[in-house]
Amino acid sequence: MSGTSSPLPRRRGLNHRQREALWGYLFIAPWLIGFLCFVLGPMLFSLYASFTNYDITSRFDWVGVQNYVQLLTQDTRFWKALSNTAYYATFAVPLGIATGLLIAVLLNQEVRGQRVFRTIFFLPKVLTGVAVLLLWLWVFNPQVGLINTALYRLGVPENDLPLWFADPVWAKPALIIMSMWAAAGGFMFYLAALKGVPRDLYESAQIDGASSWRQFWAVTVPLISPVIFFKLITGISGALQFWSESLILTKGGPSDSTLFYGLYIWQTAFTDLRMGYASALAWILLLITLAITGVQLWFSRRWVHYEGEVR
Amino acid sequence: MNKTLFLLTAALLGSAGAQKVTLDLWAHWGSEQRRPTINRIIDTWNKKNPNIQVKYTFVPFDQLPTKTLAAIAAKNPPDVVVIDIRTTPLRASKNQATNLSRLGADRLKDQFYPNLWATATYKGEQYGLPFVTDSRFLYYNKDLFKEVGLNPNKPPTTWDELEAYAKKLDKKTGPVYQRIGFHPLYGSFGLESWVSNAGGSMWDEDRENPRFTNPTALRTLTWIKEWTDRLGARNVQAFRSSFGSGAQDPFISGKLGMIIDIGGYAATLKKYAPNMNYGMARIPTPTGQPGPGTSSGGGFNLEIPVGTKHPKEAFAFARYMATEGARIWAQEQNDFPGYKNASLSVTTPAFRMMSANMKYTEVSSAPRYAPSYGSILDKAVDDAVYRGEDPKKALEEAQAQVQRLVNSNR
Repeated sequence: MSGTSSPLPRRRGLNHRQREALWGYLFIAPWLIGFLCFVLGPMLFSLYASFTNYDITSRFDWVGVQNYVQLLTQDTRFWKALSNTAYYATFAVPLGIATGLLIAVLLNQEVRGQRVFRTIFFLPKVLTGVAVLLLWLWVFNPQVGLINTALYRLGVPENDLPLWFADPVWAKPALIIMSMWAAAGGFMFYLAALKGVPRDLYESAQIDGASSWRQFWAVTVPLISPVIFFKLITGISGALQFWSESLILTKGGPSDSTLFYGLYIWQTAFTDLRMGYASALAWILLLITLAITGVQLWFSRRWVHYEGEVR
Repeated sequence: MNKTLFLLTAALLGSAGAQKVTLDLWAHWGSEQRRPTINRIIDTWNKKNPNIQVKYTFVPFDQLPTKTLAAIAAKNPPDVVVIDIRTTPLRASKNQATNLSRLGADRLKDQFYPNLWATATYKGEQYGLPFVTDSRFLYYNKDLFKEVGLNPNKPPTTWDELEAYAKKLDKKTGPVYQRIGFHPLYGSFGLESWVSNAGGSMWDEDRENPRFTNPTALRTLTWIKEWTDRLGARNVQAFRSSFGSGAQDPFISGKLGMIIDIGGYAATLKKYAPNMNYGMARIPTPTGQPGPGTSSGGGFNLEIPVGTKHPKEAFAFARYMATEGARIWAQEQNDFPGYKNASLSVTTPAFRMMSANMKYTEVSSAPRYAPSYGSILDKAVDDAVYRGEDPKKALEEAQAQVQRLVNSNR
């Protein structure tokens, strides 16, 4: 080093407020830079690419709206992937919310060993990955699997047992049942919300003679509606992006019944090397997600209650 | 003092940097069984070539194509990759693989099996060196043959015989199959392989346009469908779901009387079923006569991605790996090498059979305008074989879809 450094000149012109703002920006800078470089940048790039025949390494020519026109008018697999994804979201999201809520209500009861139960139900959130998927493959095995063995014991004739992942009719329901397991771990959100519901409201309801079912619908649900709403928004956008499980378990089959939108994008981009077309697919998905979210925000005014909100 | 030290370091770095090169090799071999051999091949090279040191990076099999692609796009690719033999022409056409003809690869042509060399040829130029391949065979259980009164030394040679033998081997209690003699879609031989086996092809000569509805394809799909109908589509699917690996392997556990698998399956049988009395035969054809597509194979080529800073050194190493390296690999791993000399150094019976079967083995390339056609064709097969769709209609649908893909990718 070249001697001691001279003291920094005192900064004038920066008052306390400005200095605080500067520090603020400095602290969020890592996120901001990350967002600009790894989210916004690639998004704009993919928007541009969706109007080209980009294939990553050899061509990048402007083709106008050709990709969009082709996928909307000629591409039967696009519509197939879209309908599979819609099917999945329609069933997986409400069932997932119901499962999480039901478990949260159960775990909110005062019984012995409640901590143990809470830990057990949180496990699905911790255990994920390919190993768990392979376990599910066994659960749904038509011949030696847990579910079909149980159905057989319950008296379902051998020839009527579902073939699950081998049958286009049952492959999607199998994936939806599978998603319930992970959704169960989401009880944490609802449990936190349930804890926040004031007890005196239940007491008043009881004095009015409301049954527990009525109490649930008239007191609990409205008061935790912001959490349900949050899970609905994130759940739908998550369900629209559901696909990696189908890549590992079914490869999109049988008969394209588990060809989900994300899987189709991935295949188009990395097997066919049609990155421009895949970008167009991705943008369509973004538009669909935004539209659904917009509609939900609009409807949320009717059923979501925020504490202290004046109407 | 500081200045002197700096100059000294710079001088040292400079003189070393002028000669010494480190190459990055990517491949998917990371297992306990594969790793020591690849390490041995690289160590041998590194000892002999102090100025061209090779560093090995293991990349999981399913991530290798995408990671390589991303590295090429980022202009920082590995120098040599071991990659899927079926997609070299695709990468050549997309400017991802280096033209090796310009580095002198054409002189090596005669040292490799012609069908394997051809997998890396695009528009008359060479874009890869064949490393290893495989070939498929019919494996049959001799004890089960004896049990049902078939001659264990006379495996089937025609499709009719195959079906007659299979019927004898089927074993049923009530409506449930305990054993199935053979099914064309069990094992690793799909519709496309059966069409080649019958002397046809799903593509035109240049593998540019699909012709899924050709008579051979239609006849073959109908044959598979009739086979399935006889057993019951539901039975065929449910039965398949009971297959596992290792000791649960359907052939080892006696659930299947015959199965098609690669030559290396002999090693699996040796490991998991050392006492099994089995035979290995050429895959039956409609006429009983073998042809160029009777069997099928996959495998791996060595490629030099576009953008490497050391193409000459990379080629020198790729050449060593495809020849001397392949010899070591064949001896230790029993995979069949593309380099002819290396294939002569292994003498196990399975290996000799593979060698003899090479000229009847088709190693086809993925069509470069529709690399993902497989999933569309799979759907057609699924629909026709298991779900009662008319084979002709199923193939027509797939044909139209793939043709559209080809047209828009051209």
